[in-house]
Amino acid sequence: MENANKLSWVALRSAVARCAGVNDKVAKQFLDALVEQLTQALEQHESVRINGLGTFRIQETAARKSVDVRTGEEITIPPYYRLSFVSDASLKKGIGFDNPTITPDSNPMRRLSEQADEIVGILADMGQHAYEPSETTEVTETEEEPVTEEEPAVEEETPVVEETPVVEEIPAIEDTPAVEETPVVNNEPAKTEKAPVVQATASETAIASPSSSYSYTYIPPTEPRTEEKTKEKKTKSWLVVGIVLVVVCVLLIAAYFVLQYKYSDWMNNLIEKSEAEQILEAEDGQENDTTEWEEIKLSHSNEQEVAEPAQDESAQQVHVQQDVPAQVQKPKKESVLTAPRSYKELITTEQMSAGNTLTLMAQKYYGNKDLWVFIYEANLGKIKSPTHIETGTSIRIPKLSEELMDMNNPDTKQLVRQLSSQYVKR
Amino acid sequence: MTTKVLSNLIAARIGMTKSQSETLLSSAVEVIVEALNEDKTVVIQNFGTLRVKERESREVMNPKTGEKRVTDPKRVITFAANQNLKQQVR
Repeated sequence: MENANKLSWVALRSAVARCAGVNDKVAKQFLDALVEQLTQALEQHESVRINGLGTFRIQETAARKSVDVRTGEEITIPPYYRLSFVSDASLKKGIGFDNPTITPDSNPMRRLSEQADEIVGILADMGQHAYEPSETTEVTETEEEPVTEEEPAVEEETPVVEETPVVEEIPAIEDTPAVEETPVVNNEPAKTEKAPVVQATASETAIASPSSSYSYTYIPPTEPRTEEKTKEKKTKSWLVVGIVLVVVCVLLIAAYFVLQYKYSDWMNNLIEKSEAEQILEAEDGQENDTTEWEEIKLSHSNEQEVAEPAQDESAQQVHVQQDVPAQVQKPKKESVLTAPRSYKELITTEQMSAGNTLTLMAQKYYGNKDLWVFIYEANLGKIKSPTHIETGTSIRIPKLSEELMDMNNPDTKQLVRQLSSQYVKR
Repeated sequence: MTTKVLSNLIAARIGMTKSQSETLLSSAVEVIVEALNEDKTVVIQNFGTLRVKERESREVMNPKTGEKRVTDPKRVITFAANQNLKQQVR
């Protein structure tokens, strides 16, 4: 064992860990950080006040003249800063550092007899309240127990369990300062084990109880501390309840929005499906010899208007050596948006360089960054993700029809948006 | 710097919650004070030492009234900074 008059750093650490209910590692981490933080603050000449302990402050010591002891020469001692500590006023008064009579090494018997007088007085007061004398006595006794039970508690769990409900009810009736102590009793049930004994003696003979309490009412100064603790605990429990409520509310709201979003998504899908079915039905209805592309176009009802330009355009496109479907999709003003696009005609191919993106390319070649989707489509085989393209990949930049590039057209806009959300999801 | 600021700074420094660092700080103070109350010397590594010293009674004079009296002996908490800290602060 270490020196009895010294609390070493290691002992301090484990005591703090025990007191705060955390493990040694956390306490060590905390205390190291505390020292670092204190040092840092004091280095910047900032005073630090720690509640209940005192204030660390940097004080300047002015330059002064002195005499070199050996030579008798006059010298000037330069100014310097030193660290001063002033203990908290509560330590000076509350704990009795200024009063040697209350120090722990003073005569314990004297203090006990004082306490006995006190308790007798309290009991006499309680004699006037005819009801519940035993319970109030118990409260006065339990006050001192957290202090007295320094050693590990003896195992007598059953009487404790029986007694605690009684203790719990007291705060509602009694208004004594002891009321705040009862939660402590509940939190540390093992410590209350002696209470029933005291209660029994107290209820039988009022004056006998103080004497029975001597054995474990030894150092009372820690009482206010435990009171504060329970107050903190009470406020904390309310805080916890509040936080839980808020979290539940937030979760509910989040769930609501998520559900709504999913529902609307689902509805959109349904609508799309039904539209597709309608188109298919329309196709079935018109059993023509036209190509698939034309069928879809026709389903959009403008048979005459669109059919003519289709022929014109396809005639032009033949010169450019294109597949028929690709040519056909361009002229159709509306079907160009709905038909699958095939990119045979290229403006150019570009090597993917670091820092380049599809959107930059789209901006470069089409003048609109939203049109990156078509570049992506034209390179589906080569690139998996539109956002992660390996450097050096040659990207084909397709030539787009004007309809596809016309972002003023709401249909095009919608198509581009739909495609981009579709590809980004992948 | 107050206790609260200190505990918040520590919390930020080691990434624990503010309330946790507050409890730790208050329990550290509690432990230290308890030890001092038992006349123990408290060593804070890399920082300094807190110890209780007795001040003997002495004769004092009230400068206004010229009244002389003897003070009660008392016990005070003293702090001695670690050499490193002294140099850092200087």
